[in-house]
Amino acid sequence: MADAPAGTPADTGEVSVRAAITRALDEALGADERVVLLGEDIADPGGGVFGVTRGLSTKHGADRVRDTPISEQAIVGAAIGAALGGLRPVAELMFMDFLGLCLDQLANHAAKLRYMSGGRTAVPMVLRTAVGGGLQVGAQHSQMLEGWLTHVPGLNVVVPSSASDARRLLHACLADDDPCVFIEQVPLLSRRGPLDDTPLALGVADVARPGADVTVLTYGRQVHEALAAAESLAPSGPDVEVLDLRTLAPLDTEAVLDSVRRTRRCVVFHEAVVTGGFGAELAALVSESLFGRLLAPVLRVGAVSAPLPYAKGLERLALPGKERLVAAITQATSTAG
Amino acid sequence: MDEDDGHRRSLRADDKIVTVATPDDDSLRSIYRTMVLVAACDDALRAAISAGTVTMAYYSPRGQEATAAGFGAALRADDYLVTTYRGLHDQIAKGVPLRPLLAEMLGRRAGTGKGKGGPMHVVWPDAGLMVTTGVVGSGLPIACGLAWAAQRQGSGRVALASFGDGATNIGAFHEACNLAAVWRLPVVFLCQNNGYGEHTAFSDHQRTARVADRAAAYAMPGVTVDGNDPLAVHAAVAEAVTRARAGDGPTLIEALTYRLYGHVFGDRMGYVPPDELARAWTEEPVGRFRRRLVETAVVSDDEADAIEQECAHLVADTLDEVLALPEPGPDELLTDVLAASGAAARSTGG
Repeated sequence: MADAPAGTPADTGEVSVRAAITRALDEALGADERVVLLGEDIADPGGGVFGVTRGLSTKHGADRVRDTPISEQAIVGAAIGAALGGLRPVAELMFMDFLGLCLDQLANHAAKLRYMSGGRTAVPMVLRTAVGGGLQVGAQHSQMLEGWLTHVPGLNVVVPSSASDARRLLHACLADDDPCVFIEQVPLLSRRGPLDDTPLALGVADVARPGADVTVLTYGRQVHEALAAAESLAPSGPDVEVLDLRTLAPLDTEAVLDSVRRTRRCVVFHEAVVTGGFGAELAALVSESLFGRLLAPVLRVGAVSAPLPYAKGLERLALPGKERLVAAITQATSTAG
Repeated sequence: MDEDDGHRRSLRADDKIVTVATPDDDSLRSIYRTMVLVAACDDALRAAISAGTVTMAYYSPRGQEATAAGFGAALRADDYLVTTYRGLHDQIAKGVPLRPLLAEMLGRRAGTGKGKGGPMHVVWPDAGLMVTTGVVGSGLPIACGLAWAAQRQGSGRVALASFGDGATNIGAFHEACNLAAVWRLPVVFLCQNNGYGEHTAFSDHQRTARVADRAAAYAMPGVTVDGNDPLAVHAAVAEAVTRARAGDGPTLIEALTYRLYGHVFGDRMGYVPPDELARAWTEEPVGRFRRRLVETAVVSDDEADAIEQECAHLVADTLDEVLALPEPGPDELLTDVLAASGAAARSTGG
């Protein structure tokens, strides 16, 4: 079945994050006639710039998996209208950097229509968007801008770290009656892992690695760098707990505070620029709630405050990685306990 | 066929020219009553703001009553409407009940949005009013989505996006027109060209002579009508709606009208040539339509007076009633942020 969506027919064992997302979309299209997809080049043969929707228009029809003009305002606006009209649209924003082109629709309309109507209207839509940081695609195709979105009440913001979470969280987004932004970090798409059919709700963090000495709060592909950092420190250094937040809004505040209350030290680690990033919100949450219990200041590790450079070496320097995280963990655990 | 005539015809040779039935006398009286009700509401609100009884940013639709009454009469109750902050006339014409409408404008719990949206965000799905936006041009893409849903569901519903001439210079207008044309969506783009985008005259904000000229760029029919004549608007919208329901895609209608009280309440209109404003008042649409109905013996002067009195009383009574209603309580502060109760507090870390 050459045209079948990747990952659909009788997969066993591990699948890529890309295939897991495709599968979730395929399952949703199959299960619910109201589900429709729209975006630039998402129909076959392209199936989206990263092939995430490949096979879906062939299987479910080009009227349900629908190519659009290059018109981000129209794409997001049409998704909002379709949601108001009773569909469950999934729009694709090719790169998160293009958020500026449709932010009015997302922030002023999708996020606010429920509140401004006193609950009379709802916008159950999903906006999937890709982030190319780490792939040498330059400053306009690389930005993690989740902090722009978490600042707006009324939006759910989801950043999966694994194939299983990607599939389950996308299903949770599709079932949710409010707008969800689902962030797909491109370097993560080929990462493979097993699938799990247990439903997963939005707002439930995951202890990716239990530890006693310091908590790393992170999400998305940085979870794997955090796990690598933790392992590299394991032989002689601190015992690192890695908490995968999975969703930033809603945020699993309890899980964050439970972990840091135990470890009494915290490092926030994300791909986005540190200044004004979501990590600042996490650091504030931890500091406000656990000030007297902390043994060290909450540290943040993220991208430097510069547009993401193109040259490979510079890009590597700009983005946070295992080395800078290890340094921050070492600093956070250097004070006496 | 001269150029103007071309605006009144479909651009595609295979399109049928739709014949629109003239509204019967009952419909004419209903259209007139809608116009009178809008004007009465506007009078009452401006008076209340002047008196200090009511405080709000108010964008008077006075002068544009005919456009709204005309399109309102051409739509089904379940057709969708997306409108703007200057939306009182559209909302009344689409059938939003006066009490929740005024209650919302006054920030009362009984308002369309529990007083949490305000006059720029009136929503009443029961009458098809899905969005009132305060952001110029933003409603058009949303209307496309509503139309797409209707198209997929086979409901036969049409989405009408109402906006001003100022909105035709923003990207959302062009993206929406193009998408609607490409997808042949059942949308009616209704531009209420009142001569000004905020405080900038039409001739200073675009080079095109007619907004409807822009339809050609999207290969959709474009029509310019006298927006102060409700029957001209009704005929154009009814034709566009028929085309949309038949699967023949969107239409751009430009209704030429006028904004008699400027952009926002308190606007001193120093940018408006006095003779232009004086002329506009002589063509004021409510009085003009009344004269026409009296001349054609659809209503007598007494009947017209009775309609005016009935509307004035209805508005006065409703406004009095609404003024006595409570504002939303603190319990409403964090509800309706998200469907899940309490999720809002959780997401703020509170």
